[in-house]
Amino acid sequence: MSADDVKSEPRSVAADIKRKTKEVLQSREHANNITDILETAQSEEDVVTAASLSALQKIFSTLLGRKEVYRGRLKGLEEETADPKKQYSRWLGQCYMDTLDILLNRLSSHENSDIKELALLALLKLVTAEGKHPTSKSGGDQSNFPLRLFQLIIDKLMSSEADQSAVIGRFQDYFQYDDIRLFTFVSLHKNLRMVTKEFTQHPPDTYLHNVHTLLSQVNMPGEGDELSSLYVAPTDPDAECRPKQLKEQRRAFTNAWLSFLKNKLPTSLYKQVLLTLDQAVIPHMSSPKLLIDFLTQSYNIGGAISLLALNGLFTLIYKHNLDYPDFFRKLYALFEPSVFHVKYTARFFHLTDVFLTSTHIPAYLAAAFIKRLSRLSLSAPVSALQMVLVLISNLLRRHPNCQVLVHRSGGEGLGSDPYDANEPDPAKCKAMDSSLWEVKSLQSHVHPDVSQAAVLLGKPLAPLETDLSQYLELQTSEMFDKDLTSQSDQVPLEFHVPKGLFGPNDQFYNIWATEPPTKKQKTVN
Amino acid sequence: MKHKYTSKADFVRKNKKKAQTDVKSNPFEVRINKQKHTVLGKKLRRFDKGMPGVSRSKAIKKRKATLLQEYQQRGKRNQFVDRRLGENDPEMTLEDKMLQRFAMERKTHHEKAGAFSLNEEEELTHFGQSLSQIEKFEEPDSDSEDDATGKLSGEYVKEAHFGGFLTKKTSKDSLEEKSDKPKSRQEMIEEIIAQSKQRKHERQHQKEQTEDLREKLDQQWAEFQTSLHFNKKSQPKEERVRPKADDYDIMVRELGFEIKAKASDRLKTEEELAREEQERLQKLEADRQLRMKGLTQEDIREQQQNRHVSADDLDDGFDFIRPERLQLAYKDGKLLLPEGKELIPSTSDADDKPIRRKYHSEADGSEADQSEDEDEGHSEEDNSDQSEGEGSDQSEEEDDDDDDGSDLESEKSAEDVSGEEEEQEEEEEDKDESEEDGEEEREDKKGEEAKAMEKTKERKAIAEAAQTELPYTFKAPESLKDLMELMEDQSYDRQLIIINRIRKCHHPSLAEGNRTKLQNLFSILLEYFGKLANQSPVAMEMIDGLTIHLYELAQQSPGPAADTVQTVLKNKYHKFDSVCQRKGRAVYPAVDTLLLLKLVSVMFPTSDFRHSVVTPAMLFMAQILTKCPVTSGRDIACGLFVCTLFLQYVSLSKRFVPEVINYLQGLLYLAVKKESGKVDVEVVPPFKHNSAQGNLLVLQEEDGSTSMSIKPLPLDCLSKSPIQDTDTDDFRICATHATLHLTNMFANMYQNLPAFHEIFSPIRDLLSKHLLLPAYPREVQDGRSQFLQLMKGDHSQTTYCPLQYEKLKPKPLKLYEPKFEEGYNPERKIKGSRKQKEKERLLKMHKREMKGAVREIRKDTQFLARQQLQEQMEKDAERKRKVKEIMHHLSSQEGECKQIAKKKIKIM
Repeated sequence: MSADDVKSEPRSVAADIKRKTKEVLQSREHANNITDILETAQSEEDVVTAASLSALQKIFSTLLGRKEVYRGRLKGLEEETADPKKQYSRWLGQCYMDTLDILLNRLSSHENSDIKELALLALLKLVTAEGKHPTSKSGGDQSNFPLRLFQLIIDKLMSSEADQSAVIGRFQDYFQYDDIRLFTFVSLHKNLRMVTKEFTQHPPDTYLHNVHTLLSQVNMPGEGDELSSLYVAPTDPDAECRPKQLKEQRRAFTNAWLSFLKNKLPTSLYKQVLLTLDQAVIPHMSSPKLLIDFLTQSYNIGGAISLLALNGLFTLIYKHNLDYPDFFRKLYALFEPSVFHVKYTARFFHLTDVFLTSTHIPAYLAAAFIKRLSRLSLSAPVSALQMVLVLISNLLRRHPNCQVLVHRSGGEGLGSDPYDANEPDPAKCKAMDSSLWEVKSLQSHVHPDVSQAAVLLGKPLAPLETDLSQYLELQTSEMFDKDLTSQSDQVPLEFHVPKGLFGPNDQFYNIWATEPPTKKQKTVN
Repeated sequence: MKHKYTSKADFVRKNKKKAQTDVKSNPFEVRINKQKHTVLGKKLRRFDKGMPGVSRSKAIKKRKATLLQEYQQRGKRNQFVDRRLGENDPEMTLEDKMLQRFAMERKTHHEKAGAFSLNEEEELTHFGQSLSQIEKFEEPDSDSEDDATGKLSGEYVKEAHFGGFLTKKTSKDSLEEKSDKPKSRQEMIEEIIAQSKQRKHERQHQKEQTEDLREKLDQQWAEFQTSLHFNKKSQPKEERVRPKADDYDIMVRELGFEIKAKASDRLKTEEELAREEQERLQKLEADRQLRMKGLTQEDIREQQQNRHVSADDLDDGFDFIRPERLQLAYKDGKLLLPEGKELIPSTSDADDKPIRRKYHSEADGSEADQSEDEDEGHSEEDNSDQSEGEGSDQSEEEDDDDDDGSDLESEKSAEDVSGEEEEQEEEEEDKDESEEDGEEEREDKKGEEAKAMEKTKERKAIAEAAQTELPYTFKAPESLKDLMELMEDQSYDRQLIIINRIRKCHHPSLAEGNRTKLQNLFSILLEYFGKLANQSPVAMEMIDGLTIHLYELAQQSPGPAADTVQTVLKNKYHKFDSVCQRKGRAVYPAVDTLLLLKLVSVMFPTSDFRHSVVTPAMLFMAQILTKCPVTSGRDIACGLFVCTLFLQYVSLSKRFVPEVINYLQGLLYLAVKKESGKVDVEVVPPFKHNSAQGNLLVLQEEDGSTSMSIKPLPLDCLSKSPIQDTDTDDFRICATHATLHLTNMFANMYQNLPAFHEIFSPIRDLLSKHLLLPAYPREVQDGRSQFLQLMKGDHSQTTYCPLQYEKLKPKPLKLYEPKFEEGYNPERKIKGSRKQKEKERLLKMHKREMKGAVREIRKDTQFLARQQLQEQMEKDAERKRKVKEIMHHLSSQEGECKQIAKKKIKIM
């Protein structure tokens, strides 16, 4: 019986709430129901909470519409006013404040993400309601947008404790409204400044992840797009207001991003940011040059982050006339044996190819890169070698002066390789005096494709460049499958008859104990 | 309206005939192209001779008949079509036409008239007479001859039936016999049927007649024969009652027919056998060398052919493969001398043989001993299962060995014989149990009987003692499960015997489907191999035996075996690779994969430039070395095993494997103590500078291990649950030693690579600066110093010689010597495939037709233009004439008018 009660209780409470809401909206007599609903909103039951949240939203959007809610400052609450109407309005104002508190609380911390979303939706509805009936103080702009409330929402959304990605995903739908987008950036910027100050540039990772999720989900309008869809209708629909200006949007976007990038990002997030930077961020910035600091810093970090920063840096150099001294020197430093083993190898080599496309690069520089590449190829895995060899041959074609590396007529034998691998400056590494002995060694590489590619470098080069792109993403598995399928009808067999899996003649003899144990025992006996 | 010609076609046809007859009579119209050189016996081409005037006029006439008609009717919607009977048939005479038309008229009239006639039968007529009238004469044309046959003759049919006038006369008939009336189609068919029936009847009749005659003859002969037999009556009886052949006779005959011992080839001496083996190996070795360079037999042949090149050939854009090309890829002085070093394995094989023989003779001796033991009581020998005769098993095992020995000496053919021989022996051991069919028995007898007899005597005793035995024939297993059922509870030796017998029973030469069965067996054994390899400890004895079987099966059918190995490899690789893709790293594969990779090196030549099994296997190994992080002693063991595998794979071809060098360097790095500051040596993934397992190979105790003896690594530490502990200093020392050993081997191998110093410089730095190995045994220290010695070796001038492009052959000047071709035939100058020729022919035809069509069209337009001009001129002339007429009329009128006016004036 009691179990049944418990079960039916939330439902009946929810129905009760609905009924009360109706009563409140019908007449002022039932205004006290609001306090009941505020109480039920604290309930543990999700159903009850949800019902009361939506009830509160309904009540207050209607009441705001009736202009019955006092929205001034509530400082002189104690002083009694004679006018009962005013008193009622003040009381409603207080209830409204409580409601907002509850909603924001639910938004920032609740276990159930559905409730969070519900709270968010309710708050946004209230934003429209407030926007429709602005007080003189709010906004201060033509747009009537209730900035104060919105700032509160964003503050709660960017929680530093909980992962808000689900709610942010819901929020994403509202980014089609130009005013929401703009004011999100504005409030986010404010929020970021505040948080950064609070945590002294080391905010928690969850917070940064939340910010990044929000930022990366905005899709910015393009150059020619019409900016006219507003969430909160302004008083004068034709007036020029901030959300309708692309410049404003971009400025806010840039500010938000820059204040985000000022923080110390965790490595995984850092990589993610760098990956999307040149595609999603740079085109929409008011002045991309502001990113230079960030990018150069990341480029100096080294390792995978440098590789990724290269992409953004390249966009800046290529499209925004960035003059970056020592670019090639730093690029040269990025070539180390581990470059073949990181995730972004293909991207890196593609960019390298692009950087070295210009035929105006001095020959010594090209030679240094060629020599460096060939030195690295000695420890490169099979899958990367073809790419390296093709890149080398392309570079040799672009810079005919560098062909002394593979063909030097009338040279004398040298005691050692003149190339200095430890010299960080490509100008001083004496690559031009060297030869590609490494490539010659690769001619006897174990894989036939690689050795054939290396053999090609030992001959006068064909005039046309080879397409690098097909080798960039080459995986060992692809090579494996290709080798399996390239089967000739005749399979040669070994002709030495074995006496077992391991024999005395093979290379395992001294290293591994391959004798069957029983035989050994026999011989011992 | 009546046309002059019934149709355009007729018009043309008639004109054509006319023209032809005309031309022949006029020699002046023939025009012949003048030949520059008269060639005897050469036929005139089609266009060399012709009659241009005639053909032109012909063309014009044709156009007039066709094109002009169309032109004239171009604006007309209606056309006059002549549908009168016979009007389109030029062959028909006027009379025929009239007749036909009349008949038609009557017919239509009949139909029209009889449309409304009720119950009135049509009145049938013949020649205008009513048939009812004719019927009154009972036999209108009764001939006595016709009565005899009862049939109407063909002629009569032709003449009399319906007069034949309802049918068209064919032109042929009219030409051949004008008087005869044409037959209708139905009649003709009927006639044919009648004729064929008659002929059939005649044939039947003739057949009957011959039958009769033969019977008659038979009868006569029988009579005649009886008279002949009269003289010797008893003979046929004697024949019938044959004396019963007694056993003796049968025996004698059988013995007589039995195949006597055949003359066979002289047994080869040991030296001869060895020499043959050596020659065979030499040849195979030479092949292997070629494959290593990536050349095929065809390439070699081409090269040999290309050695003598005529001046003409140089111009045809053919690029020769120069022999130096691949030597550059495999620069190794020793390899170029096939006779020098490479024969060592073969000679060692030859050396092996006497030893093996000795072993066998010993075995035989011991066998005899054992048989004596057996008599005393075999219980003391076999503890495990007493019911089985251990002695016999062992003897069989020896037999197996014997077989293998003969395999070594003279490949498969010998194997068959010996196998069958063995079967025979076993069969004779206990005939009761033998289930061999007759065919095999016969084959057995081909073997050397004398030898077999000897052996059987020896075995008799053992055979009696043997209580239970393995069956001698097995069904080929369908799956591993089947095989496991067969093998259940058997010792490894006996399992090998079972496999051997399965193979013998299903030798491809015995039955049709055996080859596929053996191929299936191969895959099953491969599966079993993997299963065995994953056991711990690894049953090396069994695996060795299986390896030999797998090798021999692969020799029998290389293609399918390679396919099977490929699929197994592929599955294993993809399993490995999917983990790689997901996590970016992987764990070392299980023992079965590692041993499978070793098996690949046993079965397939690892030195080939490209091999469909070996190359993927090497990629797999390289992937293992780059993707698997080292986290335990087992990982180190696996890595070392793969490195050793690589050493095995490239030991002949001396190819460069960067992954192995990286890996060895990483292992040495693990042995370096990292407490003393940072070690500034580069390491390549999977090794990391600051990983948790960075000190895996660092010795735990400082001293006390210098006197330890180095043992080779046990295979057991490859398995996932190793029996031996890998977390001991002993293991570390052994692993370090193995690493150094491998490093030395690889360094020796790559000594001749131009980038030798660059390849090994990281390891040199490690060894010279960080890994000083004071606490290690002497052997390990020796390994280190040996390597450093090698690296210190001459920085010779030759290694750092600047690179140059391969010298291309200078292109010779063009020599304009005439190119002679033997047996040149101008008629057949197009070389190429049938398809190409066909295409060329069609193209030519198309071109010709195109030209012809264009010419025709041009002529058509010319004709039309002429026609239009003519019409225009006619029109103009007509108009001129009319104008003239009118003017004339007007002027005369005017004149008259003036005259009248004058008259009036005069009158006035």
